[in-house]
Order: sequence, then C-alpha cells, then structure tokens
Amino acid sequence: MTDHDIDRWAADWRGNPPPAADLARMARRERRVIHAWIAMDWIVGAGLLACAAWLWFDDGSPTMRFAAGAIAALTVAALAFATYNWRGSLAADRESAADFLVQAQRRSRARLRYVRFGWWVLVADLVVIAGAVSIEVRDEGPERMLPMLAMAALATGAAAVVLWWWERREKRRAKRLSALAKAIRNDQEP
Amino acid sequence: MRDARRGGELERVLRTHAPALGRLAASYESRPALREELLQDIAFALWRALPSFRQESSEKTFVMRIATNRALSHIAARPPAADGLDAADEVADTLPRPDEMAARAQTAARLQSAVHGLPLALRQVMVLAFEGLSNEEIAAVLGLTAGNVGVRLHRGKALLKAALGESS
Repeated sequence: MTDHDIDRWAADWRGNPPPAADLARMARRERRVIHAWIAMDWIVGAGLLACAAWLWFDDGSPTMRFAAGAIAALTVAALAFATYNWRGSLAADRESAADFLVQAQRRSRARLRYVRFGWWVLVADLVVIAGAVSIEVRDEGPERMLPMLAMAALATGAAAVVLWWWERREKRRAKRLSALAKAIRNDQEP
Repeated sequence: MRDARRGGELERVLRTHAPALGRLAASYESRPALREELLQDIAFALWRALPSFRQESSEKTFVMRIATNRALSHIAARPPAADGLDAADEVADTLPRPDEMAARAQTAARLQSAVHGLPLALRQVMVLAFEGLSNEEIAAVLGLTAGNVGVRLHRGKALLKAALGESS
C-alpha cells in the first residue's frame, strides 16, 4: 500500500495495541461450551426417547402408545434439526463476507421455516391430544380427563412459549442480516 | 496426536494475529464484554477452520476472513446501540478538535472512534487496509472486486478525513 494517508492512519491504528487477550484459552472455553450444549441436546433427547419407550411398554393402551409415538417422533425431529444447526453454524466462515451473508440469510430462512413447521406440529399435537382424551373418556370414563388435560395444557403452553420466543429471535436476526447485506450492497461500485 | 498438533498450530496462529484480531473486534464491537465474546467466537471459529487452510491465500487473509464473518454474525445477533450503518454524517460533529489532541494514544483513540462511525461497507475495507492487506486481499476477504475495494477506500478516506477534521 503506497497511499500516504492510509499508511499514516495504519501506523496510528496499529500503534494502539488492544489489551492482550488469551485467545487460545478463549477458544478452549468456547469449545467446552459448545460441546456441553451438544451433549445436553443428546442427553435431553435420550431422556425423552427413554420416556417414550417407557410409556409405550408400561401402559400399552392405544392412547399412551400414540402419545409415546408422538414424543419419539418430535424428539427425533428436534435432534435432527439440532445436529443440522450445529454442523452448519460455522460452515460458511471460510467464504468471503458477501457469500457468508448470503449463506447466513439462507440459514436464517431455514430456521424460520423450521419454527413455522413447529407451529403446525403443535396444532397437530393438539388434535392428537383431543383425540386421545376423547378415547380415554369413552373407554375409561371421565376420571382421568382433568389431569390429562392439565398435563397437555402445560406441555403445549411450554412448547408455544419456546416457539414464540424462537420465532421472534429469528425474525429479528433475519431483519438484521438483511440490513447488513443492504448496508454492504449499497456501497457497490456505481 | 492430531488434536495436539492442531492445538499447537492454533496457538501459534492466535499468538501471531492476536493484536490484529483485537483491533478488528474493537472496530465491530465497542462494548468490552461483548467484544470478549466476539473474540472468543473468532478464536473458536479459527480452531474449526484451520484444518481446511490450504495456503490458497496468505494466512493473514484467511484469519481476517474468518474474523470478519464472525464479526458480521455477531452484529447480526447483537445489534450495537449505534452501529454506524448510517452514522457517517454524525461523526465529524461528535469528535474532539485536532488541536485539543497531542498524545499518540489520543490520536489512535480518535482514529478508532472515527473508524467506528464509518458505514459498515467502508469500515470493513478501511480496517483491513490498516491491517496491511492489499486491495486484492481485501477483495478476497469481502467478496468484492479489487476495483470496488479501491472505490470504497477512496470514499472511506474522504469520510475519515472529514471526521478527523483533516483537509483533503
């Protein structure tokens, strides 16, 4: 670079070293955090699958088997997404910034689609629960209806809150990525 | 064995480029706690990406590319209060006058503040130029043409001069 102004500014810029940071230690710490998150995903997933298996074999009624099947299917879908998400989250780093932003936007759209799919799954879940409760009432009487409904409301409510929070977060991120891409594009050569 | 070699290589790369990475992180994130988070993110991304480094570019270009992408991802997730996307016009009015500055550290601080106020597209190019990357290397990091980098450098210089109160 032979530009006088750039050279002068570069000397000032580099003459002001930032506080020393132990980046290697930071990398190790981040690795541990990421590995802990991945392990937690799998531990929770394995717990849910064990719970589904127990429901399937312990009770054996069609209602419980239906519930067990639904839990297992949702757990497998969630684990598949978690794996996809972790594997892809750093994959585009070697690309140029322009390509990176394109890929980040694509991934953000994919995550939003996943969240929206989650809403449909929740609706389907409500239909299944309603069906299961009505089968239970028809076969066994109304005694267990209230606890079943309470449990279903709790689980559905928790899932709805997670989906709402996640969708809001993803929409914000998508908006921000779009603003960044626009800010970078806007200065293209005329 | 492979992990140990990878760890050793990472330590060397991080040690070599730590000052540049620190300055780059500071140009994207002014809040100290979040800057450390960004640096941690960059360090981890480098650990992930290093095995795929095939010497197609210089090591510095490779490192700055990873760091720039992580920084973009960081500001997409944690928008700064005033992110400088449109703040260039305000910079000149908010900086102290040159005659009030004497020490080198103050000059550097003024420069950093002025750079932070540049629009993102220009800030990226200026920071990479200050770190000693050529136009071609900056183009490779950002996915632009070398000509486009030249245009942005020209605009960035004009805005920086205005912000620092220097005559053209």
